[in-house]
Amino acid sequence: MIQEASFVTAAALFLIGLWAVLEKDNLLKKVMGATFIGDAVNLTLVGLGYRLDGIVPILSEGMMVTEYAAKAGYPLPMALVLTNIVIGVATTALILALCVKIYEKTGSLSVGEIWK
Amino acid sequence: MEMSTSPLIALMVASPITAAILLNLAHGNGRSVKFTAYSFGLLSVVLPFATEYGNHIFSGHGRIAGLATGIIYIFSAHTRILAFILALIAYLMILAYTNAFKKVSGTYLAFMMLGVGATSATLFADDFFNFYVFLEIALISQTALAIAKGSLESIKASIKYLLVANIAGNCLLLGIAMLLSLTGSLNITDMQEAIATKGFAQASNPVFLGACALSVFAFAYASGLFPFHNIKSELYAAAAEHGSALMQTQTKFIMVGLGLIILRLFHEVQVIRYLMLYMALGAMVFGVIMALKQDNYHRMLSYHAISQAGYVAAGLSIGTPAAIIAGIFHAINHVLYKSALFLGCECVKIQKGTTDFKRLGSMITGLPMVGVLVLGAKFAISGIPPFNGFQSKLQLMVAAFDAQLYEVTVVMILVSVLTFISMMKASHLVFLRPTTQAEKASSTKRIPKSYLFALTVLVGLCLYLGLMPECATRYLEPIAYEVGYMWS
Repeated sequence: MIQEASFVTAAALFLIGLWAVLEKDNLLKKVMGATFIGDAVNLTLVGLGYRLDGIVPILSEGMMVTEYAAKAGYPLPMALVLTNIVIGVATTALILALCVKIYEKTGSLSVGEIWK
Repeated sequence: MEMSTSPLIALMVASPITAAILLNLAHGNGRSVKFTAYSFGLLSVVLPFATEYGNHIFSGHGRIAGLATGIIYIFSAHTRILAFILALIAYLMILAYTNAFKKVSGTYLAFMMLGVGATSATLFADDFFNFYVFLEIALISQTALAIAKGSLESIKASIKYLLVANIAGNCLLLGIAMLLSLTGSLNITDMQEAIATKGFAQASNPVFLGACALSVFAFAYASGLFPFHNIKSELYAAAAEHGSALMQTQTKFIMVGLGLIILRLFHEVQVIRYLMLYMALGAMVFGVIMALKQDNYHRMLSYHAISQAGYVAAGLSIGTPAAIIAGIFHAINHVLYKSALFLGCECVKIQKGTTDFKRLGSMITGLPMVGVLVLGAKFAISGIPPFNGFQSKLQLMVAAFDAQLYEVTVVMILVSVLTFISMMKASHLVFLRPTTQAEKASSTKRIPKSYLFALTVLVGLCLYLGLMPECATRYLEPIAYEVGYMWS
């Protein structure tokens, strides 16, 4: 149930993000939309790795490997999420820096005005 | 899988990235920057031929129960030639840049080297997530080359490109996540085996088809295919000309890398191959039509880069061994003659200060050598023998004809004719059109010898591969026969 809920939330986040990127006139709102899309993908990955009543995927002392395999959450998607967050931060920082530059040059963040 | 390994495989990615870090640190010290760029650039050129074919695994565990536990890089014949051409063009562009400008930016060169490292990694990676990470790095480094120009146009083009790149990148990651949920692995070879064993394509598994569609969307964006041709060409046009040359080289090779992954994983989904083919044809046609409409030399070449990318994508989409060889061979040929054309355009800009057709003309008197060399590159892009473009375009047309895709062959011929017309128009407007004595006198700046050297090497290679295409195609045969399938 929690997994399904995370996928539905991710789908909603993705669509809201896409709508913002395509429809909003303000550049900053477009950037926010793009980050929503990244968050949606991250949430999907987290949902993939989730296991109901699971344990942290660390093999502790005395634990049988079979017990670990049966209970532990799937660690690989978590690693992907961490990497994707780093990539997302770098890309967003770059876009925001460009927004500052474009505001300095044009005095506006309106797509309609900048690209007219 | 054979695990013969050489640390040099990893070094081909690590050395340009190390160079990028060092160049950033050396920024402001011209001599150190030049020394670092030249030495690491040269190392990148030498490494592909100094390294043995094999695999490199970034993990101490190897394979457990037949599954890869770490990231694997595969170095094979086609990656050798592609890595060599990429490094060679990067080196020539570094030479051009460092000799054209008095003050050399370490940061700018760092992004050039970062792009080389990231693109090499996308060619070697047998891990889909690793591919995604380096694709993102390559896209950022490409954008940085455009941003470096500092104009409002370059910033606008970069923002547009990055915003859509963000969506395309996340779509690719979502596709990878879907494949991970189906196959339990990120290793492309393991994914391929799982997909074949479990028959996801035959069962029309919706998750599998979704992953396929998302991967193709990312392929179209990263390659600048239709409907994203305008965004990519604007980015090329926004950068300095040598930057555009390097960017389009990276784009073509990333396109080959991702195209081969799509062929390996999704070759059984026929509709996707048709979709890729239509996007390729769209890029070819719209690219060349937009190029014909341009009144700026640099912008015109940028649209041609998109149009020629369509040929490469068409070869990969047709998917027969002959078409794959022709497609990758065209990617190699295209990056060589298009880099020469961009450098020729930069020579014109250095001398006249503009690439606007209306303000150019009679350049053949001021730049006779450049004019002749650029004419060779123009013959190559138009598919005129004995240059390399003729060989790869002919191979592509024959492959499309053999696959009974006659309409594709016709489109390829028509686009080639339009490319020739466009190139001859540019030659006339830039080099031959008579101008007044006052306009001729305005051309005073000397062209650095590094530009003539780079142009000579590039056009010489175009001629060499035109006369002896097997020197390149023999490197491409193993991968083409491994992933190629007959069209049905």
